[in-house]
Amino acid sequence: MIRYGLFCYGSFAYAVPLLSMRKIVHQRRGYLLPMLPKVVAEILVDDGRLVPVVELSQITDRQEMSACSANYKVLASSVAGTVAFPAEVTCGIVAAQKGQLLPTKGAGMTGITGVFGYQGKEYNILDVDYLAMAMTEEVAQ
Amino acid sequence: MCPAGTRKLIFHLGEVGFLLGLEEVVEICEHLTEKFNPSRTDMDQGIVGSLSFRQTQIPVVDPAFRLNTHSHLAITRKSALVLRGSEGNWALLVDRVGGIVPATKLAACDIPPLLRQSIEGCYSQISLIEDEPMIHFEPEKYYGSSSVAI
Repeated sequence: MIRYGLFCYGSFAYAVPLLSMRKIVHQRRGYLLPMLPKVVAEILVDDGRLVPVVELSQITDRQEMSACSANYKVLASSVAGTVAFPAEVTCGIVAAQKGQLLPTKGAGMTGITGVFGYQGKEYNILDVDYLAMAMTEEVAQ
Repeated sequence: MCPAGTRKLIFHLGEVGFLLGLEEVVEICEHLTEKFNPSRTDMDQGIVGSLSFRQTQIPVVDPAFRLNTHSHLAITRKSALVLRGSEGNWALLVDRVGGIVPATKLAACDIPPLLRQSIEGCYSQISLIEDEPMIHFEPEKYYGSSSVAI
């Protein structure tokens, strides 16, 4: 059974497959380091490890707010290690069958594999692996 | 007391913390106003001026150019760490000096593979002090034999 962890950030809502999700941390201090890729907002320290926080505005093309100020960080596993996403509100864990899978609508919204419709709200399903690898592609460009 | 090689000097550039081997440091200079000469620069090398130090002029390197960090401090309000180099002393411009820490207080911390490519050439090691990441400053990456003497 597929389940999603749901959260909101800025004017968008997001879903992360529960199998990828590791944990959610609240009001954890983030750090800026020099020469980080533009898609990295800041660095978290979790269990003695550095975790890059993905700047979600790269997906939406809207610079609405800084990921650094987000109350929550959703940590997820990718093929290239753990990454985190900023969240203002966490919306729980929901089984896929309780909602609807919809095609993506937003042109240019890379890093989104689909849309999960649940209780009248549309959650963009994040492609965690793609967003993690974007950190290295940006450097290569 | 720990030998110098096992102690690190903490300094900050903006909000970013760095560690530097104490054996590299000759002296810490503050109040740069009367010692700093901004007319002798080589921006390609990150040299923003010269410092009058023990009757000689030594190059002052601002690592912020290379690291793309931002500081609101005027140069004269910063501190200069005078370091030993293969070509003599040189000065590293920092925002503030935070003290000395024994190496035993540092927790090793791997840099995530996703970030290694972007930081390559600027730093390669990070340690944690009470869960705060501190970058091991590598002086040879900022001033060395290929630099132009002033």
